[in-house]
Amino acid sequence: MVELGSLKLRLDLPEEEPYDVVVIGGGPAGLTAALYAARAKLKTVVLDKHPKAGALGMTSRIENYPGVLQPISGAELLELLRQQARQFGAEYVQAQVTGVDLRKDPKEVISSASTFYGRTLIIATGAMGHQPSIPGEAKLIGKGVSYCAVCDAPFFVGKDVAVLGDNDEALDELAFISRFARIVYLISPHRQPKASPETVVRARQLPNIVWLLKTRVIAIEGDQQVTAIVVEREGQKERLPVAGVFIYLVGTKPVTDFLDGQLDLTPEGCIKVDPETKQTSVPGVFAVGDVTCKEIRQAVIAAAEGAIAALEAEKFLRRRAKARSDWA
Amino acid sequence: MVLISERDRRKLEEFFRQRLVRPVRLVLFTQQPSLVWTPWSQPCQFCEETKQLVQELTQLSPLLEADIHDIDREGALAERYGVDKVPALLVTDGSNFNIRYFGIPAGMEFTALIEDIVMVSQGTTNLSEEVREKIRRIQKPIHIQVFVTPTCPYCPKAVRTAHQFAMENPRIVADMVEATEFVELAERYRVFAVPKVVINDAISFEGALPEHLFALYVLKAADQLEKDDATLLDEVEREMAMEEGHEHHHHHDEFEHEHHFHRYDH
Repeated sequence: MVELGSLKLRLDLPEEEPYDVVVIGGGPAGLTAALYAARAKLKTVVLDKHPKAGALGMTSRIENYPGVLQPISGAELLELLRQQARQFGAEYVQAQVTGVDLRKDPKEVISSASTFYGRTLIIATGAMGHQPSIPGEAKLIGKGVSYCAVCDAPFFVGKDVAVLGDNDEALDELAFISRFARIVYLISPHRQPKASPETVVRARQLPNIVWLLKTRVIAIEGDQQVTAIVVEREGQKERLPVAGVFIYLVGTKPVTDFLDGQLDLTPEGCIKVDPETKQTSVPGVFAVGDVTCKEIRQAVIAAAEGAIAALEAEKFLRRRAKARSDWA
Repeated sequence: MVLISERDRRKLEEFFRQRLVRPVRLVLFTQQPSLVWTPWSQPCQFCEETKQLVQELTQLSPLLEADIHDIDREGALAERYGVDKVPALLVTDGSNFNIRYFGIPAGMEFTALIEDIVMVSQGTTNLSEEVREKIRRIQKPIHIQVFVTPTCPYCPKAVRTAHQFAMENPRIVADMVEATEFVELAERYRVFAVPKVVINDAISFEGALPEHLFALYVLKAADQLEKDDATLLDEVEREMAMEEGHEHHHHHDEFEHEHHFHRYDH
C-alpha cells in the first residue's frame, strides 16, 4: 500500500520546441559541452543523474586543473562548471537517463524527469558503470535486486532490505526506502561512508537504518526471489535475511546500457567515435570523455572533448538548416 | 481538498485549449464502500480519489466528459468493457475502450493520463512510421499490462508506449496496473521491479524500452515477428543476458575501482 504523499500529482508536459543539444552526463565533458553549446546560443539541457556522482564528483582533491590555483574537491569544480554553463543559458536537470530512441527526429531521451527531445545528443556518461558482479545479483534482477529505489521500494513494506553502496546517490535514496521497509541495512566496505558529510548527517538521522561499515556482500541468495544476503566483516561471514537489495555500487564499465545497442561500440564496450569530430555511428549523436575509452582519464581532457562535440553539434545543426533552406 | 493544484489547473486549461480537438470521455468504474465486511471483499483503496481526480479534470475543458459507474451495480456494463477491478479508468472517444488505467493515475502517472487524453482527442500517436506500420499489422488479440508504482519515474513512458499501440490497433488492449493497489495480481506476475510489462500472460520484460523494441515483444506475442526483427530481438536479449552474466568476479567493482578514481589527484 502506498501513502497518499506518493500520489502527489506530477505534471511534466512535453516541451513545445525540442532542444538543439541534449547532453547526457554532468561531468567535466558534459558540462563543458553544455557551456560551449549554450554560449553558441543553442537551446541546451544537461541531464545529470547526481551532481556528486562520477569520477570527478567523487575525487576529494584536484590541484592540476589549469587555471584553478587552490586545490579543490571534484564536486566543487563541477559546481563551478555547472554555474558557468548556466550563466550562458544551459539548463541543468537532475535526472537519470534510461533509454534513447535515435531513430526518431528529434531524438528522444527517456529519463527519470520526463522525456526530452534533442536535434543533437552529446553523450558523456563516463565509465563508472556497475556490472552485476556479486554472485546471485544478475539472476535476481527484478526479483528483489533493484537499481531504482523510487520505483521499487513500495514492494518492500514492512520487510527488511539492504542498500549496497555509500556514495551520495545511495544515501540520498535511503530516506525514501526507509519509509517503506522495516529495517534497512546500509552496507559499505569503507570505514566511513564516501558520501559528503552533510549527506551522511542527514542519513544518520533516519530511524530504521542499520549501518554495516567495513562490510562486503559476498552473495545474494534466493531462487524465485531474494531471501538473504551473505556479508563478510573482518573475516567473519554472516547471513542476513532480506527481501530486497538496492544496489548503488560504482564500477569501471562505460555507461552505455541505456543505448540498447543503437550505437556502435568498440570490443571493449566503449562508444565508437570519429576521433576528429567525436561523432558516433549515428549522425548528430556525439560521445565524449571516459565513455569513449581514454588512455588518459583526466578532467581537462574530458572537458576539451566536450568543447569539440559542442562545436561539431553546432556545425551539424547549421549544415542541416542550410540544407533545408536550399531545398525550400 | 483539491487534488490538482491551482497552478497545474491553469497550465492544463491552456494545454487542453490548444490541443484538444474532439471530445474525450473518461469512463470510470468505482465501488461503493461495502457496509458488510466479508473475508473476500477487497476494499477499493483509491476509488474516491480517482473519482475526484476525474471530476476535477473534466472541469478543465468543455471537451472532457466524465462517465462514472459502479462495478457492483452495473456489473453487465463492467463486463462489456472487460473491467474486473476498480478503480478502472478508460480514456475513449467512444469508439474503442482499449486504453485503460487500473488503480489511480496519480503521482508520476498523472502526466501519462494527460498525454493520453490529448492523443485520443487528436486521434493520432507519436510513434515512428516504421513502428506504427508494424503495430497496425497485428492480427491477434493482444493484452498488455504495464505494472507501475506512482513514484516510478520511468513507468509513464512504458504506459504511454503501450497506450499508443492500443490507439493504433483496436485488437490491442493496454492497461496501466498500479501494483501497490492490486497486490495479488502483482504477486501472480512476480512484480518486484517496475515498470514490468506482461503481454498476453506469456511474454514479459522489465524497463521502459524504446518503442521499436517494445513493439518487437508485442509482435512476438502475436507470432508476427519477421526474420530480421527476430534476429534483432535475439541480439538485444543476448546483450542483456551478457550484461547479467558476469558473475565470476571475485570482488565488487567498488574495490577494483579505488585506484582508478584516485588517478585524478596527482
